[in-house]
Amino acid sequence: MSEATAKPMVELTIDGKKATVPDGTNVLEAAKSVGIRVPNFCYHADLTWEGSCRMCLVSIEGRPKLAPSCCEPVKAGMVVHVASAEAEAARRAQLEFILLNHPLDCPICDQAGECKLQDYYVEHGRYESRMPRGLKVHKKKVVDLGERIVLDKERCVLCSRCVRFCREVSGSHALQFFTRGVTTEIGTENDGPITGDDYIGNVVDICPVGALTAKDFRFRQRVWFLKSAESVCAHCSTGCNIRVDSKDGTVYRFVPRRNPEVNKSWICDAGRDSYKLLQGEGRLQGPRLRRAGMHAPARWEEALDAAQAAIAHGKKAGANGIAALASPDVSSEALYVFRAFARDVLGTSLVDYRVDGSHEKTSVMADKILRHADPHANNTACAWLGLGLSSVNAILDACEKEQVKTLYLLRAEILQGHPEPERVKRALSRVEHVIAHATHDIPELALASVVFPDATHLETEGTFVNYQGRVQRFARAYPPIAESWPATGVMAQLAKRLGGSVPTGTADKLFDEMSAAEPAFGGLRWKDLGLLGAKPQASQTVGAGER
Amino acid sequence: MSSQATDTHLETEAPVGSSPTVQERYRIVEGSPAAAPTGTHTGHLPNDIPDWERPSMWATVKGLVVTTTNFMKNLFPQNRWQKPTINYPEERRAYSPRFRGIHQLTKRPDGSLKCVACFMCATICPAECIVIEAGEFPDKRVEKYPLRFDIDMLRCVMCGLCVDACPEEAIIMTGDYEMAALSRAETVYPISLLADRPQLASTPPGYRPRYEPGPDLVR
Repeated sequence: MSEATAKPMVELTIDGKKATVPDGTNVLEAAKSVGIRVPNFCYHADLTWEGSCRMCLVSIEGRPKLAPSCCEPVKAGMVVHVASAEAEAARRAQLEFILLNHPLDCPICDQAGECKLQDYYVEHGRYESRMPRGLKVHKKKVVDLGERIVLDKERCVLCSRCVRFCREVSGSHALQFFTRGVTTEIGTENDGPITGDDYIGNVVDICPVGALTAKDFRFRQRVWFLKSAESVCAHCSTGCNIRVDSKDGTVYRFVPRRNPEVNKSWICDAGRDSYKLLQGEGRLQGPRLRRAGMHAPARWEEALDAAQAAIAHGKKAGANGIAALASPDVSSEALYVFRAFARDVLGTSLVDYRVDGSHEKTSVMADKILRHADPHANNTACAWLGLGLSSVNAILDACEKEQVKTLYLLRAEILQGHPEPERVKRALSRVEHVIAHATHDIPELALASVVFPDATHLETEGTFVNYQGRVQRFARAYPPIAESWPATGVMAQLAKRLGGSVPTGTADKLFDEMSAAEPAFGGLRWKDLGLLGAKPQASQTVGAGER
Repeated sequence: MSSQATDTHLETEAPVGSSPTVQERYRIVEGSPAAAPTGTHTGHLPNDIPDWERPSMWATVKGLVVTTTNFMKNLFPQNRWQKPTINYPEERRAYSPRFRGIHQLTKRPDGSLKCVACFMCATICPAECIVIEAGEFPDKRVEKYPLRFDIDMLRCVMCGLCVDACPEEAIIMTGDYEMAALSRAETVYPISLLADRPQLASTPPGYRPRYEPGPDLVR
């Protein structure tokens, strides 16, 4: 962080290791920087310091008592002992204290497998409970807190992470502490449902135990079966970093991944739910061809043959015989291949991506926290690659005048977003051949004569450029479903058939090639992007849509 | 995804040269074995086999003694363990009380399944033959129960690890071992077959490693 680097550095010793961290850091983070993990429940890097769980107690030389490392700012020359016998005994006792009334729910608890309490018990404890079973204090279980959250008050360790989240991040103040002593519990007023908080899903992620569970994920899968892939949310131009948890090609949840520069540790509920839009029943299973006015499933060879013939037909019709529309939903690499495809293979300058006007809203916030008004992930890359050669209106005019014989659509969903659907329908029905890459089966596809099933960004590798101009990589969570095929491969195949050539290769090769050729990417290398993405050094302040 | 490579036409190669016919290859060569061309089979034993390796009457008698002994044992068995053939299904072999047969899902006294869908059995299963879908149970103290619990008996290796892993003794293995079926689909046992199979009444509970039989086990 830029402000952090401006702070003076402080040197201290933790378990004999020298740590140098910026002033204002706490001892817990300083220990983490030298590879020493201090157990904690209540500390969260993106929330204020609370010190309520007492699991992070460490001994500091010159102090009479142990100190909670999460609330202890570093001082020069501090000598900290995390592994001292005194501190370990205290943490062990504290763990036993937290576990006194904790129910034995692990077999049915959704958090099992990613539960801090379980992990620390295995690390520190491994003792038989000294609490007689009949004396345990029981609290309410399965409290329904509205559309998203289910609360189990017994499992709560009272770390207050969720309370602080609602106070500091979402501002809804929905969750609070109630009563005192051993009966202290979190909850909402009268256990009523939480409404009007569009970020409440995050409390499930930050809950270190299974007290808050997500209704959406509840009981659907045990976490140890899930495979994780580092990805990016494509629901708006923010580009929140996420982890895609899937099993056998089914996504079970999106979980935010910490990126201090973009989304901190949060994600909005709409983005969290967007995995449902990317899979399921609506997905195209295979290529389709229009035969005698009817859409019918086709083999890939037939669909490619038809597309090849359609493009050849459009080329014969002259300079404006072919038009091409890209979508800001696809990866930068696919856009790069598309640009080369439109220029060298289709030979047209009727190219655009600004279908729904979202390119003007890329940097406009939709709420006060994370969301942006642009519902597409990659408008910035479209602008950087200069895909707005023509204009959508000009292309639609040319279609209506029947100049355009063949229209090539990279993702047909963009036609749903146009403000004048009647005009789009009128224009496209006058085009002889409409070739469309699409992920979902939508009614507008009836206008297309050739439909290629495209892979979603979860099924391919690539990059998105978010509203800040930050290039972020997303990994492949699972292979493309059914017969779908990434558009980069299809365009390369069509180029080969039509005697042209487009860049081919894996996402890393395409990105390096694109970055070297395109100054807007500032010579970034794929391997330098890392998990958190990177901004081009000589960041050109090219806003989306202007070039 | 379709294959993009052009279809290569596979041609069978034409035979090169002339090879001997089957009759030629296996004919019995008259005269001395040395006269036979190399690579052909002859009716003669090779000359370099020592006498004691040649078939002899002694070895034949020895073998017959073994055969006859076992034949007589089977014909007049001294006890039922000596008898390898029984008149199944009228007659049935007695197996160990710890026999690991077809699984059973046990029940609570009120008749609901003990299983809380914790997926421990599915996690430990080396054959990955258990498929569970969990649902919300109306009783908040139970919370979770299996909407679907399928065991693919064709994949199951009858190892009993699911029984070991179960924290509730919700799954046990019975002495029932008859699972012949006419189709693969029938060998996937849903809850109805695992919990309420008619054969269960006549078969003892089999493998129960950690518990003594008692009133807690409602079958």
